[in-house]
Amino acid sequence: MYTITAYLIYLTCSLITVFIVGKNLHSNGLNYLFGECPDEAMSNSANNFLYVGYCLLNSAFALFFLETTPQLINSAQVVEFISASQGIIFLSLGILHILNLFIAPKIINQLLKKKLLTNKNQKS
Amino acid sequence: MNYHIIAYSIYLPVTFALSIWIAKSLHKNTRAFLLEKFNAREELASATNNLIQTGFYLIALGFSFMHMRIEGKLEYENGIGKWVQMNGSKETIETLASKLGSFTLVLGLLLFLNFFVMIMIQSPKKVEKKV
Repeated sequence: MYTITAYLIYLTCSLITVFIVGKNLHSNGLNYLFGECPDEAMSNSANNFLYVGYCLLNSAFALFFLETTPQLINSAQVVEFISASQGIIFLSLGILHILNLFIAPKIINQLLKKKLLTNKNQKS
Repeated sequence: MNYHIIAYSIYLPVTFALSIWIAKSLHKNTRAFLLEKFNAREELASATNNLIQTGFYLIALGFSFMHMRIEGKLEYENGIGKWVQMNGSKETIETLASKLGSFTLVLGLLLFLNFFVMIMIQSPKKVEKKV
């Protein structure tokens, strides 16, 4: 009974955080990563691509992490399990996010240099 | 009443309030720095500001959740440590103080990490045409 409530609360909290963070990155990534991209449709599609990939990967991580629950026999243990699991998810998301902030611009710079983010079918 | 739940119900709001307060002040201050760094491009500066803020929130709240679990109080007898069950207001105050202290320490380190990210962050640059 306690484990089922813990599963439900854990799933709602972790999926809600994944989607909220994803939405935040979706709206900010357009200006940050694709501010210098000359083609607007290309930047929109690339941004959506990254958003979908992000949401899928992180919800998969959150769902896989549910398997590591211990046996819960008390309401205090439910609170402790939810806090520990959410803590691990938040920390991993945060560390990966900060790594992305350093690595993603370098990738986008390479793409812009090689002109891979332009639409060749369009005649300028 | 279980003293653990009292400690948790004091620890969580305090950590949330501290991290939100510091994040709001960092939001104002990094905005000015980023505007100067990116040559007064407002959209780019606000976007990077929000990205840095989400990173700060995630790591701060993540650490507060991970550190919340109280198993007991560590007491030393003849140089050997033993976990003692927490059953008194004295021990709750002591463990709360240690938990909140380590959290504020990590928050201070996060502040410096935030400065570091703010200084070292690069946005994608414009490709200049070769003449």
